[in-house]
Amino acid sequence: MPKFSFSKFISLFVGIVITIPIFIIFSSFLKVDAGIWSHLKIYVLPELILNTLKLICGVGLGTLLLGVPLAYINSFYDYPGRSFFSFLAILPMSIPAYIMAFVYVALFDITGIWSLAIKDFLGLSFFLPSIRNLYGISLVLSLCFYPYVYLLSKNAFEGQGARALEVSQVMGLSKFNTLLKVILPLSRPWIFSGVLLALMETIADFGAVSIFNYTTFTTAIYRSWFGLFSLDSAQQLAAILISFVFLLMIFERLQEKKKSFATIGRGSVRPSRIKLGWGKSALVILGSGLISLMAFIIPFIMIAKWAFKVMSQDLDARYISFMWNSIEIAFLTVIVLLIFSFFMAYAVRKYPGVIAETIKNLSSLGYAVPGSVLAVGVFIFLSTVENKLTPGQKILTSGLSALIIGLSIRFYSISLAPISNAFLRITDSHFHIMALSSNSQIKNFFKAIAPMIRPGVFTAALMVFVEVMKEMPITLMTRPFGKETLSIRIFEMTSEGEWERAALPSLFLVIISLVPTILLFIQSEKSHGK
Amino acid sequence: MANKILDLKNISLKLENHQILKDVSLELEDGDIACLLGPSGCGKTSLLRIIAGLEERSDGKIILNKKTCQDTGLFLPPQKRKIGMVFQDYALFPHLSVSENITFGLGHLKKNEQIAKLDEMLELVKLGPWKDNYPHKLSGGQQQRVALARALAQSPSILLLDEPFSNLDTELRYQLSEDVRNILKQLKMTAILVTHDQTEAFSFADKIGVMKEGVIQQFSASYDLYHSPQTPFIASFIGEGVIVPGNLVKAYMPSLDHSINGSILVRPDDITHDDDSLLKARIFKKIFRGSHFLYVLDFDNGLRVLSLVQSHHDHNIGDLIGVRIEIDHIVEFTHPT
Repeated sequence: MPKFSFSKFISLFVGIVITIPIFIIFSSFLKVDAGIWSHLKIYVLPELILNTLKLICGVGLGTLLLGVPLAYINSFYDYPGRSFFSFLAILPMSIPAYIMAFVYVALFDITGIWSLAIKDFLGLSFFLPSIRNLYGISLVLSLCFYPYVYLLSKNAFEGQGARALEVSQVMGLSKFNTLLKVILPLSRPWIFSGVLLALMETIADFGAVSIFNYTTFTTAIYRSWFGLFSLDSAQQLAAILISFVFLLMIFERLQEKKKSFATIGRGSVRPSRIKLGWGKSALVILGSGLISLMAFIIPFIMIAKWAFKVMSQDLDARYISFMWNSIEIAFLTVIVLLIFSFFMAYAVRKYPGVIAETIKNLSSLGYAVPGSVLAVGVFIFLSTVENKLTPGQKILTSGLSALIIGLSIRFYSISLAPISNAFLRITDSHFHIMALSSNSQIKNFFKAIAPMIRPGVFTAALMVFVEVMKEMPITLMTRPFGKETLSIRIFEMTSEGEWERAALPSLFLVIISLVPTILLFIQSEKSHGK
Repeated sequence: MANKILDLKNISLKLENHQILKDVSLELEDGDIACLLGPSGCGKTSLLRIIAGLEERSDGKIILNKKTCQDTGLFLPPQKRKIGMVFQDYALFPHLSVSENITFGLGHLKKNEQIAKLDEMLELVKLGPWKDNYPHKLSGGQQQRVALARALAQSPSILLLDEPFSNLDTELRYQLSEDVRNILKQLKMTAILVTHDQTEAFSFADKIGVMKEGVIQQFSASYDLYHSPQTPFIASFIGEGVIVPGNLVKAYMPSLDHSINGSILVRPDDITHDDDSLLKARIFKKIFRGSHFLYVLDFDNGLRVLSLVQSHHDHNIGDLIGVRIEIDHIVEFTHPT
């Protein structure tokens, strides 16, 4: 007979709470409202689907073209400043897409700074074309999301490619043929995974596309809910969007399987990188410098410049409250997630098995679900419960609970992964020693378990904190009325075209987002050093 | 009569239709050092875990130091059994110093009692100078001694050791197993060691239980295991030797004959080399062992035996050499193998 355990109970509870909003969204397929559906089918869906497919093609191509060459050069060649440039290459991860988007619009829109400057300088009488189109948004999102492709490709090149390179060189293939016939085919699962992750981020994006006025599912969901006050059509759209996401996720899982078959040789031979001559080095530095300039340096400098410009007039008491609200929400989410992740990681570690693994995997689904979809699902879930329990009173949907639950579901896997990994340090024998000692469970927790998982808990807290600070759609759609955070402030300022005033909260967000990016870089350098 | 510390009666364990242990009974007296020896998968570690209370799904009765720990409808959790355990991976806590690891389970004692116990243990395992070090700074042998001290600090009524030396290199392994034995004898501690290494078992334990497929086939002193094994499995598992068809016709003069329905254990030291002997055998294979050669010999009738011969008798493979059969301890199995 399975023994009752508190941690098992908690993880079951978490699994249920996380999956219910997702099921609610899916359930809308079952109760299609004919009126809404025919309206969507004729007026909304064709544009949405076409726009989404175009964007997927654009960003897919863009991230490939940026990520793979950069990864190839930094994996196999050495040039002056290589480690600096490979660090620069991942920094765009710390700029939220909506911030990158408004910087580009501010610079290159018809009335943007850059366009006006060129017009003045050349004395032209016509306007340069606007950047607010498919190509513009594809470029911006590619600049934001290419690090996924870059990191995974680099991983593949350095791990799988190393041996393959030696083998094919011994067999007399040229470098170019080696790349074409050996390295790329071998690394394909990793490269595809990177692209699919970038695409999942793309179709989940809300902030950037709304700044570009590019209509996708996420903006349509927001508009149906808050513009047309139709939660039903929002739910219908969310169901279609999430189907897209799950399709991508299935593709990603398939790549995951292929990875295990594509290993050449054993051991970790690290080939020495080929030194490039001066001419080629200069070319490489120019190329990767240009990418970093566009993807990080220029956006960062512009934000800083504008922020300092408006600081004297904008930085006042309201900012304290934006910041305080952001921190309060992030802090609460961190607490909730740490507690639940602890119990689930403990249950999976202590009672391993198919059921525990399934619940764990199911709970990680939240990260794949776009924020706008989760917001709808959580809201419907809570208002249904509310109507049953306390009709007429909004105890669940009026406060912070919808927001914290939504954010917790979305970022659950981010906090669970490092804590689960930390639990692996505690061996079965450690648990036996604890069981055999006469210590109480609480004493064992404080003396043995807590100190051993502390690094993982710290990482989890940090990652979740940063993600919540940056998050926009869930916060926008489920926050209590009047609760302004830094990301909401950015949304409002950019909606009004007040780019410079949006830069002030952006600067703060980018700086705190740099922290996990830098930690990630240090960690990956460390693991490569071993 | 000595005090009975451990009494196992009919312990059985069945997991997913797989019989791990079958009606195992075992008794240990105060101060006994026993060993469970057997190939992997024989159930020896499961038996240890059942004694400790870490495996709850078994049937049977366990009496530990006059206290019933397990019986039908009764199960005492591990922390109430007063058991010390040492694991293969040591299971030291990496964030605790040597001293803190040793006192880990002593929360119920007063501070000064803890310190007294700690000093006693550090003295016992000779780790005084290292008491403030963290585990990663210690050698494998030192880590193992910390694990031992931590288990003994709880003053257990029995100490269980689960393959405790198998992570160490050979030389250190036998040195440490001897040290641990001396410490246990000094404390008159009852202990059970689980291992698959015979040499370790022989050097460590007073009595050895050889296990196979969930059953203890024989529980006796190592001398008896070697010279009077009770089953063909033990005969072939302990030491070297071959079981040949044959039976006892007359003491000291066994015949090795295929036609007889019975079997006899022939050890390598039972076949001696003598150039004058009329009985000849052909060398099939030879293995150099320093002072001796181990020859694999074939008789004309197809019988194959082993012979340990001093290494100055260096013959070639294929040579016909004279041998003598001198079996001091006849081990005969009447049932056919």
